[in-house]
Amino acid sequence: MVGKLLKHEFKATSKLMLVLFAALFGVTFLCLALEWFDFDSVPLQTASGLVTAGYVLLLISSYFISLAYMVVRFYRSMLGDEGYLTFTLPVTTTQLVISKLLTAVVWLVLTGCVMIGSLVLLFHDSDFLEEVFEAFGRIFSNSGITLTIVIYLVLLLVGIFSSMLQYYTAMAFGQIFSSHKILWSVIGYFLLNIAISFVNMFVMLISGNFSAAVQLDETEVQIADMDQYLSVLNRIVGVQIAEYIILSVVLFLICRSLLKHKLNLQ
Amino acid sequence: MDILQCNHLTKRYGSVFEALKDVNLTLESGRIIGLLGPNGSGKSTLLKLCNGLLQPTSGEIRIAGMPVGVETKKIVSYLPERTYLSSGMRVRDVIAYFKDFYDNFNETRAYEMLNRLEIDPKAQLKTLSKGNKEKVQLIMVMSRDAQLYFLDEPIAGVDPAARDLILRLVLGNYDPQATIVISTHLIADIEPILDEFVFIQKGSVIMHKTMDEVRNQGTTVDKLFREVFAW
Repeated sequence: MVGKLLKHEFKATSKLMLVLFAALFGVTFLCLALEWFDFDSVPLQTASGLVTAGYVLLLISSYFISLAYMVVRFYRSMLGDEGYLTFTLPVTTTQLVISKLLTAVVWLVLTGCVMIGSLVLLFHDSDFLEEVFEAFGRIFSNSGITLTIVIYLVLLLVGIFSSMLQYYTAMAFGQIFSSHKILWSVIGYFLLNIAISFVNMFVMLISGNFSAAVQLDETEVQIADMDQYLSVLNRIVGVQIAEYIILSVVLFLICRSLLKHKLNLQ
Repeated sequence: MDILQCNHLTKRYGSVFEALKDVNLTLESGRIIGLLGPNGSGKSTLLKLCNGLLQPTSGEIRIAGMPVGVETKKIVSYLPERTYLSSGMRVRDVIAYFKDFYDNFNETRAYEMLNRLEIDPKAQLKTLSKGNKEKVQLIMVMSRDAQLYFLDEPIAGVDPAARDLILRLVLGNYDPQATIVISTHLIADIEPILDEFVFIQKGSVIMHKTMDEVRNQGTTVDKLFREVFAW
């Protein structure tokens, strides 16, 4: 059933997401096309400037648009009128939450890839991109840094999972109340944020990440030993990954429990 | 066989308002039952509880002997009183959706009913009138070979001319072994098709009779309703 849920969830969300991606690539090509012309009139220069500004704005806001859409989609399809169909399907609450979560994470990762793709297209024949690739080549020649980058990418992915689950849990909490459900969801989100900040601090102290970070600072100043620096950095990020995984599991269980035992579609 | 059992069912919103108070109700298979009562009497709340959209404060619900869950959702077909289909979908997408999730969905029957009600399967839901959207939902619900149908105000949003046609569709497309619970306040329209009825007032079941009992009393459900719920 998860497969069927995923199929319909991707189908329902693809329209807006593909429009967003097409818009981003469209403005990217427009910016590229404008580079070929040498504008000498003020109105055309202004128009060119506006297109560039629009591109920057769209690029920066793309991720937030995707994120906001995924959050709204969850609310509407689970806790709005569409929830009357969603929760009468012969599927478990676990399957419902997993399908929403996987779809959201895939679209957010794709948004990141499209943003990078757009930048690569825009700067494809400039020195800037060449320098970036050279820098990456130098970095990846050090196997220690390759590992660190992979660990950071895993952290990013796990972070997306836990942040989506934080939104979902907050909405599952807000729907318990008879009125002002959205307001309670926002309050729930901030309460979760406070709780997670405390957990972060606690984990940093007991895992030794705090003292490791201090050590890292000193190492950075001395730039004494790159391998030692990376090893400390990997350890810090490794602990963060473990923390995010545990946090995601806990948030998933809370969200599922609230939707299963406290569902309140009035 | 009992298809629905509500035992000491209570639903409280907040700490004060009791939408249902200690409801005990047993419905048998193969019956068409009217769930009747004025606005705010608890009809929709009862149907939502039976579909797992609300959780009871106390008491229990059993459908075909099972607690409300995935297994009961396979055999229950529910029409809520609001539009639950995404407006961006086309009618044929809705059919594909129901076909994917419900093993007992009859696609041929759905297209036949759409054809009879002159609704284009290619139409987008947002382009349909409110009445036609309600008809599409009803067609989806009645195209399932379910054991228990819950229809919450199925004819409230359509014109009187379409009501007869819809009621004929309801009657013509269900297995006589199945049970239909219809919640409505348009009693005169549905009275001819009922086998029994339940009156619900302020969250309590105050009357549960068969149509034979009503006929033997020389009255009608409509008249009884006006007497019982007179202001």
